[in-house]
Amino acid sequence: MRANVLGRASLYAFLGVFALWYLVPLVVMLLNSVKPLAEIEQGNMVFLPQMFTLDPWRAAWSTAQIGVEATGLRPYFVNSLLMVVPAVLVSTLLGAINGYVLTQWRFRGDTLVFGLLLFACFIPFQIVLIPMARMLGALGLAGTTSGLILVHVVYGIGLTTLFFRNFYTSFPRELIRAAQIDGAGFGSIWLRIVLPNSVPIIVVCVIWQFTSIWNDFLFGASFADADSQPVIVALNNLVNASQGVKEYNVYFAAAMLAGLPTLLVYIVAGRYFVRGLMAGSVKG
Amino acid sequence: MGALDIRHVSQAYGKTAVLHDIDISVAAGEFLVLVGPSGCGKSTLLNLIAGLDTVQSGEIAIDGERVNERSPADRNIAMVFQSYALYPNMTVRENLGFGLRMRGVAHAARENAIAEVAALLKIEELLDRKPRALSGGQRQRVAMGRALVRKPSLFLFDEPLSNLDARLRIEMRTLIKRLHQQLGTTTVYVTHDQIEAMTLATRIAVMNRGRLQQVGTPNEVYASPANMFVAGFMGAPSMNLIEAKLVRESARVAVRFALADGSTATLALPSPEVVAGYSGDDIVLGLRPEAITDGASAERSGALQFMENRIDVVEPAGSDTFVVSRMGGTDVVARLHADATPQAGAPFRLAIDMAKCVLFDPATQERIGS
Repeated sequence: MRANVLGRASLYAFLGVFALWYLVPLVVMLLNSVKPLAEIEQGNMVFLPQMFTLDPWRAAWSTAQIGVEATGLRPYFVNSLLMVVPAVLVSTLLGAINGYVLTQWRFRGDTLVFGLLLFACFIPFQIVLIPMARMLGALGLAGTTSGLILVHVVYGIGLTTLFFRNFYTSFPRELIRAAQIDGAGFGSIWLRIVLPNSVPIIVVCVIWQFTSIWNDFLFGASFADADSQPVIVALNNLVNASQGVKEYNVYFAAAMLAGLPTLLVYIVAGRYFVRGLMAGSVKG
Repeated sequence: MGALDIRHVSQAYGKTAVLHDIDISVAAGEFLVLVGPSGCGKSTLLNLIAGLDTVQSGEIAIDGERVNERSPADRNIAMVFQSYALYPNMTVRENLGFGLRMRGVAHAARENAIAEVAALLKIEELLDRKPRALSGGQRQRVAMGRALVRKPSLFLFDEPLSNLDARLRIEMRTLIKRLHQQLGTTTVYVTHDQIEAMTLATRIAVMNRGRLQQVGTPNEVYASPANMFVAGFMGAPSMNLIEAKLVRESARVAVRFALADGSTATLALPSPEVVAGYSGDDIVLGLRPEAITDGASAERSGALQFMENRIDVVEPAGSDTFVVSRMGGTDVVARLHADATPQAGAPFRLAIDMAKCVLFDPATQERIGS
C-alpha cells in the first residue's frame, strides 16, 4: 500500500517534470510578449511582467518592420490564409478521390499507381526545388500565391491519398454495391455515400495538411516573392533582421500570432473528431 | 424463357475455378434458394446476376433479355445484403428513397412509394431515424424496404438473416415468405442454412464446389437427393449414409450391413428394379432419421422391416426422441416417438421404412436408379 502511494507520487512527479519541460518555452514566450522591451533587457526573462502591455502584439500584427516595409505580419498572414485554405481543400479532395478509386474502383496497375503515390511521400523536398522553380516559371506562376498552392497540392497528394486509401480499405464494400444497384454512378456514390461517411479521416487529413502547409518554410522561402510571402517566412525575416534593436517582445508576439491558426484548427476540428460515425451501417 | 435464365455460366479467378457450367432457369414468381456450404460459389453467382461482377463465360438473361453487359442499375433488380448496407449518413426515409431519387422519380411519387413500403413493413415510425439508432431487426426491415420500394422484376437476397438472433431469424423468415406470397416477385435467395432453404423456397438449387448438385422443389431435394452431398447437406439431422453390401438372391435383392454387436442386418429392397442397372456389390444406403423409428408405434406400412440394435446415445428433444446406434460402421440417427423408452447401452427394436430409402454408388457418390 505504502509502496503503491510512493510509486504513484513518483509517477506524477516524473510526468509533471516533463510537462513543465514542455511548457516552459511557451510560458516564457507568453510572459515576454506582454512586457515592455526594457524589462526584458534588464534580464528579467522568467518573471511575471511588472507592467502589462499589449503593444508588442499590436506591433507584431501591424507595424513591425519586415523587409523594407513596416507592415507587421498582417499582409503575410493574409497571404498564408489565401494559400493554405485552397491548398488544404484541393489536396484533401484529391486524396479522397484517389483513395476511393484505389480501393473501390480497382483497375489494372492500381497497386503500381498507389506505390508511386506513396513514393511521393518520401521525396526530400530539397531535391525538387530547382525543377519545381523551372516549372512554375514555365507556367507563369513564379512568385505567386497560386504557384505555392500548386506546389503544396502536388506534394500533399501522396500523403492525403495514403490517408484516404487506408481509411477506405475498411469502408464497407456492400454500401458501394447497394448504391450501384440503387442506380448511383461513380460521382454520386462518392459525393452522397462515401464522402459523408469519411468525416473522421477528412478531419485528420485537414489537420495534417493545414499544419504542414501553414508551417512550411522551404517552399515559401523558395517560390514566393515579397507580395506572396507566407507568414512563416515573414516571421523569419522579422526575427533575423540585421539592423536595429532586437525587439524580443515583438518577436515572441509575432511567433505566437503565426502559430495561432494551427492551434485553432486543432481545437475546432478536434471537436469533430468523432469516432463511430460508421457505426450502424453494418451489422447489428 | 423464364424471368431469370442462367445459361452455362462459368467463372474463374486466377487459376481457381469458382463456378462450373451453371445452368438454371427461374420462372416468373418463383422463389429460388441457392444453398450450399461456404465457398460453394452461391454468392459469386448472385453477384453475377446482380451485375456486381462480370460474367466470364455463359449468359445471364432477365425477362428474356441478355444482361451480361448491363450495369447493376439497368437490370431492374434489387438486392438485400447480409450486412444490410444501409447508408449511415441518411435517415430511413432517405435510404428508402435513394434508389428512386437516383432514377429521377419526382418527390411526390417518391414519398408515396416510401409511405406504402413503410406501411407494408410496419416501419412508419422509424422513417426519420438514422440506421445507427435502429435494432438489428429494424435494420433488416429497412433493407428489405429499400429493395421493395423500387418494385423490381427480380429480388436478390444475400444471406439476409445470418446476422440476426435465432428468434428474430424465424420471424423475418416468415415475413419474407409472406411478402413473397403477397407480391409474387421472382426471387433468388442465397443462404447456407438448409432450413431457410427448405422453408422459403419454391425451388432449391444445391451447390457445392462451384457445381450445381441438384435443382428441385424442397420435397424433391429432401426425399430424392441426387447424390450423397445433397443427402448429407439437406435436413437436420442429416440423412444417414450407411455403407452396406448388396445381396442379390433369386427372389429378392437386399442390403446387408453390420450392427453394433458384430452381427449383420439384412433388409430387403421393396423395389429391387432400382438396382437393376448397377453391377457393383458395395452400396451406400441412405435413410432419413424419420425412416428409422421405434417398432412399437411405427406406422404399419408394407415396407416396414424390423431389427434389434444396441442404442449408444439417447437425445430427447421434446416432440421426438433421437437415438444414435452403430450401423455399417457409422453412427446412425433414428427419430423415435417421444413416448418410446430406449435405454443407452441396451438393445432396442427399430422399425425401418425401406420404401423411403435411397441408394448411392460409393464410387461416384451418385444416386442409383434415379
